[in-house]
Amino acid sequence: MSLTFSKRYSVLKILRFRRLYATAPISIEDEYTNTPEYPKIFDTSPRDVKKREALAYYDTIKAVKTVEEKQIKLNMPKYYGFKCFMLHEDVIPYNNLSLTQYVTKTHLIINENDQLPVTYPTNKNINLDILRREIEEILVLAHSGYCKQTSVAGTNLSEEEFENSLSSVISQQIHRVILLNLHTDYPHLRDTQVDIDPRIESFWFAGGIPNNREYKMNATELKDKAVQYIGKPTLTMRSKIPLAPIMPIDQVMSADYNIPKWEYQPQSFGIFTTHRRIVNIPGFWPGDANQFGLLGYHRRGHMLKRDYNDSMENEEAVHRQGILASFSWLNAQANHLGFTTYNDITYPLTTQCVITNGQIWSFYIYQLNTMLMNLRYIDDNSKINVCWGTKELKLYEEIRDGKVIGFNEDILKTLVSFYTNVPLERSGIKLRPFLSSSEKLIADYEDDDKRKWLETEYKFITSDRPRHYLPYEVYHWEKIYKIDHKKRPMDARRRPFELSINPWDRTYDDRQARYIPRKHRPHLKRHIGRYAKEYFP
Amino acid sequence: MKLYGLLFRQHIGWHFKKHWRIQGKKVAVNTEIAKILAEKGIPLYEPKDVLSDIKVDLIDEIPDYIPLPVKFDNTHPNWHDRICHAYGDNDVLLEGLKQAKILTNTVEPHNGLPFHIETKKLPKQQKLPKRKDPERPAWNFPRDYGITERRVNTLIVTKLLQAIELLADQNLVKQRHAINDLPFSYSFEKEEDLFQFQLTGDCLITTSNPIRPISSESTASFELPVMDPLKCTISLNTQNIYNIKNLYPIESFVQKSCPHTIFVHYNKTEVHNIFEEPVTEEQFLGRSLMKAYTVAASYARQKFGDVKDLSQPVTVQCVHTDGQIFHFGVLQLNTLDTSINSNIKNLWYQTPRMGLFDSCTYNCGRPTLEGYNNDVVKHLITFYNNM
Repeated sequence: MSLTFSKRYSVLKILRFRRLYATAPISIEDEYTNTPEYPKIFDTSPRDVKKREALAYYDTIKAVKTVEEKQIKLNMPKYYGFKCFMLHEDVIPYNNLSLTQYVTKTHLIINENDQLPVTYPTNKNINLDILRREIEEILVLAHSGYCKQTSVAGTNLSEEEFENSLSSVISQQIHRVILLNLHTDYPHLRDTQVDIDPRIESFWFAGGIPNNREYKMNATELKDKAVQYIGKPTLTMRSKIPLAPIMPIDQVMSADYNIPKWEYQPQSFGIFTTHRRIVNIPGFWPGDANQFGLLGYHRRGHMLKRDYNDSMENEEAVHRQGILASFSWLNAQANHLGFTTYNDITYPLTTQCVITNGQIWSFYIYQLNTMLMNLRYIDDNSKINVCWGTKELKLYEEIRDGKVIGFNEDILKTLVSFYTNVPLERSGIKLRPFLSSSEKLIADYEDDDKRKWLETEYKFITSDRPRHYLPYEVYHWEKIYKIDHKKRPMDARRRPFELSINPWDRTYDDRQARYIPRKHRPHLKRHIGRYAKEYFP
Repeated sequence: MKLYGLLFRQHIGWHFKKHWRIQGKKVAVNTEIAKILAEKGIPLYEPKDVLSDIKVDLIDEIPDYIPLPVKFDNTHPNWHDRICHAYGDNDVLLEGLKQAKILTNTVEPHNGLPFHIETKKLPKQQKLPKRKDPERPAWNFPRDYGITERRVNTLIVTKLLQAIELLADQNLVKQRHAINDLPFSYSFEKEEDLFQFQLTGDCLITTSNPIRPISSESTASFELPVMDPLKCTISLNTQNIYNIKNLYPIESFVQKSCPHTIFVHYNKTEVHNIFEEPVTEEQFLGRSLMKAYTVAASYARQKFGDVKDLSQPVTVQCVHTDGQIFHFGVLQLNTLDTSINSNIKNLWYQTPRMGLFDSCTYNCGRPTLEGYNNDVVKHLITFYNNM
């Protein structure tokens, strides 16, 4: 049996080689055209070849059908995750505003009169006096009206933690009051979803940040830097349709906006790296009906820890928090709409952000025009993001004897105008152009096994759970006796650094699939179907 | 990482010993410097003659850098010889509702509530408590990541409350506050035993106008349940170190300070029996009564002072939930007298436990909600609108 098979196989093999010499007959008339058709000529300089390779890779991500699969696809190049610059909302190193603006491509507009591009509605009859009275009542209640669980003996809160807990109480209460007062006149508020302490994580690649070695490198060898942001808002509100853009994109591009140029390593400014998988979470899982953020409340207890004695720098630190909070939230939302750090958004997104401790308030409005900060687009992409902000404003001077003294109504008006900014249906715009028309989420797939596999994989990636085995490391004794001083020439070379292998280059799918025990495949041959099917995008 | 294998990989002990041997055999070279100096007339001194000893002031007393830990015995500042029976957030009563009724001098006139009622998950991934299988206790499950029970409870209560407030009458909503995480404390004496209930109100709705009393009929004819041969102090924590405190957390100057509805979270991993038995339904119901009683009694003590007879009853509604199961109860506090012979008794009305849904998970990669029960929301709306 096997002999006849091999014989036949060799005959086929010979035939296949013979066929190499055969050519299909083409009629001579078809060979010529009236005007010459030259093949496209590509630039073969190393830089352009690299760029073409990168663009082809970006297109493969664009072609992936669903939101979750796109996120898995982004993670495919690295098994242990990417080396990310970590930006935390509540850890703001000294002098970080310019770096933030550069990394997020943001132009910051701070008006002298603290004017923002949304206006307080004068035509509607909002009863500002009642609102003011109720907010004053809340402020008094939160400060001295009740005994908090945190102030009971046995809980030692730091100054920062105490302020954070107080500001989260005040933000929730103020939100409740404004919502209950406005929802009759503004019915869009009724359909919004509110999240308390949501989880915001956002990832993007930024080009143009140098590191030590890259000064000596060729342009072709430069790499994008991975940036991961982790935010902790107190409360976020989101709706089914997006807010209207503040400024048309042509106007942004024609305006004389510029972004500070950044030429230093982030490490020199207190931003360090760690290995993490790509995670984009705007406070909800993909498939939630309310996907567009309207407003986020943020804490500012961390400002108490900063003792640089530099009021200007402190102001910049709050701006940094405002820019990052808005940009990252929008970036994560855009990822849930099917855009990624490689496939830019096709329409602008807008959000509003408040940073407060109850007394001091800062307001920000952010318009996301582009998510492309990659090296390959650094020259071509002229779109930039715009952030409108205010200085730190005081809602009241102090609370004394159960009374609020020096209440500033203008700030309340600004806050109300954030709630009265009604989201608008975008006509003629496809909100999710890069997702498949039939399957936008993995839940839409018919195949049970595929859905289950993709869901577990996606949740594993987002969980930031460590791998079962510790990642690779070079032990100190190896560094001393094997790498720095070659003291052990007779040792067998088995470790990755002796074999010129970089273990961090391991790809996400470079692993054994799940083993299916023999008893679960009784009708198959022993060696068939040992490993479960995998559905990597 | 196992250390031994790696530490012995490069053994330099031999080099070290060799070094000592060579250095040990070294003989000081005579440089004849003394002779040269003497020729030039420079005097030579022994170091001992020139240098004086360094004087270090000795410390007489060694300070305690680390303060000694406080001893939990009769030297503790809060030590009392009299035992206090304490009840906290994570405790349940052995006999459940029956014991709670005896402790709080409460009777249940009839089943059900006194008024007629017409009849999702989030991307938080935190480490959850370890799973254990009682059949094979040594087996380690993979650690679960997801939403903690505390967060589930908070979110369910806040979101349901917001939905109800948006639907409710706006004038009614203006009379209410919703305050989270309040500490309550109430202590009393019953049959010469000292009791202290220290409990947390996870969410308290307060109002400017207290709820009207449900029933004004005499309660003398109602009998308290009998728990013989057990005493009502069974399974309560007996403590000698305690601090007697009476606390209703909201200050009396706040206009909307009357308790209206207390939302109580039930956290399966935290609330437990002292004997590690699983918590029964009866004990779950008893916990509702204990929480409602503590809120009502501490409010009554703040309002009426340390008296036993109340000039007007205090009514508090209680919603006890673990995020899925809801239990509704209403307590009318007629008296703070807890002795068994008291003629006036408190009234407790309750519903059986009901589920908001059967399951709400990702089922084969699809988010599914099964068996949603609208009765729960109807009960909540009625509770909220009760005046």
